Amino acid sequence: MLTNLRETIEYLAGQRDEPGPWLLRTPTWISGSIVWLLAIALIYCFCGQSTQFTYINF
Amino acid sequence: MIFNTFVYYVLFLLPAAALYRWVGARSRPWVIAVSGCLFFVYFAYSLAGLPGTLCLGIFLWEALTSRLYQQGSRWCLVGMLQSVLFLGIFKYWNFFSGILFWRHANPLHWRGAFLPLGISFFTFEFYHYAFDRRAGRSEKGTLGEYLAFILFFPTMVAGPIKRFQDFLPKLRATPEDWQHDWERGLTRILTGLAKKFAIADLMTAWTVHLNRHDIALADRPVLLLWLFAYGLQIYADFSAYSDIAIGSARLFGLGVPENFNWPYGRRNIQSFWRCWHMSFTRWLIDYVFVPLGGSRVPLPRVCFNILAVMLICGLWHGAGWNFLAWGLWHGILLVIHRLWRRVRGAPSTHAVPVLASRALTFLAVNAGWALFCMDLSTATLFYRRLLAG
Repeated sequence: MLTNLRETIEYLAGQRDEPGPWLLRTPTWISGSIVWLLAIALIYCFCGQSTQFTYINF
Repeated sequence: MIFNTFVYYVLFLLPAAALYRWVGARSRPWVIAVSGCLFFVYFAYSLAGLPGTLCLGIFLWEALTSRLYQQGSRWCLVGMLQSVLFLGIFKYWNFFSGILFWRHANPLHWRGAFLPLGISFFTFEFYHYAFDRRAGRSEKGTLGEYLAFILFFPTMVAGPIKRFQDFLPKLRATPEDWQHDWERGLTRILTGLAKKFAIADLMTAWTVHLNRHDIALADRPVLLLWLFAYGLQIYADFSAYSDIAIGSARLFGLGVPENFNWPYGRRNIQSFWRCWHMSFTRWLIDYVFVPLGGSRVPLPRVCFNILAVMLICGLWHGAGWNFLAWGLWHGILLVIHRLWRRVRGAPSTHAVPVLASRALTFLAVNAGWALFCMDLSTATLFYRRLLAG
């Protein structure tokens, strides 16, 4: 189950090209749209707190 | 900054990635090289002004000297030496000259010291190319291809650290299925940005209290929570950065190495390092640990090699005693793990020891973060307050 969860998360995050077994029957455009909307909402809500990445110019 | 600015996407990433897909095979490396130069000039100027911009010369000089590298050639040694020298001068001049004049005013102190954009990372790619060319493990490539390798802007500033022999075939191949690449690439970039803003920056707001005054006042449970928050912040921050870099490279149709593979869920410290900043760990193994003898030498020497590699790892993260102490902490953990494995043999597969080892690894890694994010005296105060109250 943990492996399936991991594969699903990695696919939704764009790290993996093949959807895990849980998303095999879900059309790509549905899962993709949900992830994009969620990510854009999070970016909109939380942006502007910091301008730095830790590993830049260290 | 950089990856969380509109300028990066509008002026650099989207136009360069689109142009890369549009032009012919011969021009592709030059699209990367020219866009990399423009990227460097723009962001180096905004970070360090004209002196920072002039550091583009380091890339051009390295590209010219790289044409002399051949199997077994001394020019490769010169290339390796010069790449380390650039890093040493810009990053460690004041640290080492300060040690030289311990407790005295440092007459060699460089007041206007600055770090050229991405020097901590491009040094590794320069060194790797010279080293592998000397060993005959890497193709030479054309000047354009080498410039594309070192000036590929998605990975120029903070990795992932690439290898020329992996990069070259992808550069030469015609990128296909651009719709799929862009969908996956943009998804990765959006995920990275969300991770950065919603997790890393949220934790930053919390860990900003890791200073002497607040440490002296805080309760012990709060100190422990700060440590975990910092552990989460640095993971989310750098893995978000890597997500954006890898996603950006995907828009060009170019795959670059992964940097993280669920490191906090690992069973031991060795496995943690194989999954944390993976491109850097692999670099350290291939270009420091193995040349020192690796694991094929007697056990005391292996332990020495591990400690030496982790001290270098610590010092690379910053020119300060706290970074050396952080590297030493991880070196000691790796040595203990090596000795433990020697005594106890293969690890147990029962659920309780597996869970316990995962928890212990997580705690050991997080315990070290105070050394990473504070100077040595503040970190000492932190640990004293945490352990003794």
